[in-house]
Amino acid sequence: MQRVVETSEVPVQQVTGSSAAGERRMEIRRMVIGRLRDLALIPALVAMGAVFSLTTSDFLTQQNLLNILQQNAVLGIAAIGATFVIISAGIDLSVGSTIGAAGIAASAVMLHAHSIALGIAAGIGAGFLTGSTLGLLIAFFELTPFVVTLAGMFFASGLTVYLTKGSTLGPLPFWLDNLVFRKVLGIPAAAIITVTLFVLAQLALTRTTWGRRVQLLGANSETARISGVDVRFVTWSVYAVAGVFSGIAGVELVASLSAANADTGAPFLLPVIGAVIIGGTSLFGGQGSIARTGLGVLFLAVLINGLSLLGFQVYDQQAVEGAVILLAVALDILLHRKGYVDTA
Amino acid sequence: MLGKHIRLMLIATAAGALAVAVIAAGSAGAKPSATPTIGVSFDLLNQIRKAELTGIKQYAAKKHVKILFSVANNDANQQSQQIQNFISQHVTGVIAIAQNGDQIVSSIRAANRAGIPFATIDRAPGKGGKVVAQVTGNALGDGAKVANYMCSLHRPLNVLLMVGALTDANAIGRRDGFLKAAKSCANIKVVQQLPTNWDPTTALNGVTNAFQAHPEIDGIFDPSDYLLPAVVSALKATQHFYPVGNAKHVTVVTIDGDNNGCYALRTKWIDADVATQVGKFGPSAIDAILANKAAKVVKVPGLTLSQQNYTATHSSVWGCAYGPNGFKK
Amino acid sequence: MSATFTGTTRRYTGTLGEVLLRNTVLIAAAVVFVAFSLASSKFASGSNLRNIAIQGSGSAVMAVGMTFVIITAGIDLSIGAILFLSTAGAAELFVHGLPVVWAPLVAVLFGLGLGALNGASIAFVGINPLIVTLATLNLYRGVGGHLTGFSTVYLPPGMTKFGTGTVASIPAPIVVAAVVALVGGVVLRRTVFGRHVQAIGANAEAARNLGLPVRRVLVGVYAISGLTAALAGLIENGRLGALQPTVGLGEELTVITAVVLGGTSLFGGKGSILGSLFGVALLQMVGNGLVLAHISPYVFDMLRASVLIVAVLIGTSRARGLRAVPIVRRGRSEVGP
Repeated sequence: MQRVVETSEVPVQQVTGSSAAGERRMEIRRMVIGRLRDLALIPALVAMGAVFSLTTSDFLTQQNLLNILQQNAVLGIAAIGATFVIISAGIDLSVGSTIGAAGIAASAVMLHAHSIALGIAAGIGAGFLTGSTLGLLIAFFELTPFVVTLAGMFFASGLTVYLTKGSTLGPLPFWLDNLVFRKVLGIPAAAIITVTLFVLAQLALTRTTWGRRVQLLGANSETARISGVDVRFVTWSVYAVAGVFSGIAGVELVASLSAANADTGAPFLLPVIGAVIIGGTSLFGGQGSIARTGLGVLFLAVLINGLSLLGFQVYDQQAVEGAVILLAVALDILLHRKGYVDTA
Repeated sequence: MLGKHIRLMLIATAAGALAVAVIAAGSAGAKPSATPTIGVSFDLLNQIRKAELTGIKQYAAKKHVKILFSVANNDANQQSQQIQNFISQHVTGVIAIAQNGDQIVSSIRAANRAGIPFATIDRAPGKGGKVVAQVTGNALGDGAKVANYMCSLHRPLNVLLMVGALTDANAIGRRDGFLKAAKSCANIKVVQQLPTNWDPTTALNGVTNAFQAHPEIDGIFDPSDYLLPAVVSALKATQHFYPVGNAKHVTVVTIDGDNNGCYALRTKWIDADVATQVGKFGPSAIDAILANKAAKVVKVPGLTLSQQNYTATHSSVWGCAYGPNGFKK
Repeated sequence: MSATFTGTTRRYTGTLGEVLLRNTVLIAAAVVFVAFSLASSKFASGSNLRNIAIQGSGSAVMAVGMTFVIITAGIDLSIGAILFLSTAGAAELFVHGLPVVWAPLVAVLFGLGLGALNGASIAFVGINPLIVTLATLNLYRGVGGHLTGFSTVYLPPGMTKFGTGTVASIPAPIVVAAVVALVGGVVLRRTVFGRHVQAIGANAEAARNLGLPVRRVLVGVYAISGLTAALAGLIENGRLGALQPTVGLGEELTVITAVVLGGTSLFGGKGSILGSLFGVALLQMVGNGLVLAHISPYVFDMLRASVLIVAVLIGTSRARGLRAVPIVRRGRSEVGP
């Protein structure tokens, strides 16, 4: 799939050759807009929270805030994996169907083998298998991620529906509540798991060689290749990692519903990508952070929760969510075009 | 020291935790309002759901109960979150039409933990949670009523058995109820089963193709009035569309009792419609919530509206209160 | 997305590759036809074939539009929703006084507009087609739901004629599909617009450097997709005689699979309307046959998905094998997902 790009991807001053003072002004402007972009999300989030607090008394309650954290664990965990892929300048459209497939795999094993641990392993394993296969096709056969993950999405969901004949697997052992609802120090387990994964992933991105290679790959794959990065391995690995996170998310999803159905994962595709982009990671790759994605997830979560409490029907919620995501993507592209976004 | 983003994340988490702590200290949450409020969670919105909602709202108004309404758009995860929001809003009770009977159990248990009575209507929930009422139609019974009506016509019928979505317990129940009752009726012969996934185009194509494969079909069991336009169009397209009374008429029996079904009966396109008495769902559920006692399982029997009893019975069927063109909201 | 030069140069290959690809689906369709005819005497009868043709008309019409879109290396997931909303909009206006004779035209104009909206977001703002059409898929269906109150709405005869009418004893759906396919083929092969579409699909950057109006063409392509979706809506809703809120749900998957089956590459640059039609015919026959043989409907979904994967793999390897002259690139040229 090809994008239409404006011809000037190059910052203006190189073309017009302005004076040193003009260059300095441009530099400052870029810095300011870059900072604003970095930091704008937090004020926006706070502002939105304030609006909701004022318009409905149900928003700013302990229970509701904890609900927001717990309800968006699945979205958050899946978004971690998606962030790695997008930083590497790829895209993974199979995230929704992988979540569904992992949930089914986990449930099937739990019900037949009567072992929760095995079930969780199966779910994560199914996610890894899916991601790894897609990663192989993309890295070693050099197929476009868009097409491969699109086909993967169709195949995974078709296979899952076929194997389950559309039926629901359950009920799952109630012990699984401990992974979701059980409160530790007042915070739901789902939120603790999610935040832990976020911290680990962010450390992996910034502190490990692998993480730096992912960023380098996304910034410029040719440069990466020249500087000795095993492009194929790193490419494969981001999809495999994304698969693992989708697998964890799938397990978390069926744990929260106590039953698994092939359809349940599908609605996550758009919000996952949306959260990553709203968080500030660019679809063009090369820069971004897991932490930012966390903010993006929070933003969408608060938005949907507030609209729901205010009585917006789900169709209108989806329209607003879609509009916000489109706006975020449009903004991302616009800023990139004007050269305000560094590929850091 | 720490990376910029780690700093960002830690600040955000600390701020969040602080906020939660402050609020926890400051408020015990929104006080439940004086008027009883019931959270109503539907799986989707269509003709019959709107009738169910009307039944609930009317009865609630009579009982001075406020209603919060949400629709999950066929997403079980959405429904779970919407019910969770109801719980955190301290509703007096929850009424839900489950998108997925098994996946609603976790919401029921969450309500149980919060001490909020939960009633399910229309679709039966899976096991594991405590409900104060389970008010559904009787899918098996309705399917049997269709077979019994066909049997009462006292002539041999080659029947096309349409089936709804294979993941829908109601669809399976209606099919199985029909098959069981049809066994004891020598006149009924099922020549083909047709899964439709509740999709009108699939039904249209399927019925057309069925006549192709089995030209001898002279009876159709359509398990929902939603597919009625498809059935009628297929009959017209295959030149099998004759009104009741004509020798070449194909016997059609449906379930639901919505406005299109009633209209089709009035204009003599179909023979009978087993109406689901959705008007009774809401009141039963609301009463059970207000009483908040042990579980009541109610299977509301369908009401057969037919050519034979139309005049006497149509006023009891919810769909007959509306005109055929549902364009007005 | 980075400048990963994957080596899959997409020069529009000449007739040989196109014929090869097209013949694959043609052969497959012929094989299936013969096999089913042998298996059941009822299959090859005139009335059954007529049924298959009518039942596939809606998908065939949309496949023509989708071929244009996929040739530009894009995708349109919102066609099912446009199918619904375009008719809903026209019906709403009819209820408010629009003379019924204008209703079909209004529906078509709605389709054009909704498609153009997609196209503008993709071409002028630059958003990924999948994200745009995924968002509009929900948005359009939601708007349609609001308009119809989520009820079944009986349509007046003036609006159903595309589904149930006949033109010189030929069922209207078949006529519409044939006309759309013909016009689509002519536009693609013999007009400047069509050549621009192919050029952009092959290499958008080069096309822009050549001075082609890339953005306008992209908007046009998605507008065409919306137009064909509206026509398919007139056909399918016309056949049903009523507008129902779940109509067209999931149909985009069948259409995309048919187009890819027919030899149009998801990577863009090459495609064939005729191939897409054979793809629709093949899928329709298989679906029809599976029902007649009482096979589980889930088999069809799996089949459809596997077919897509296989077609993508074959299409990719062929694209490589048929690569004529590698176009020299410098730095960040191939900017794609």
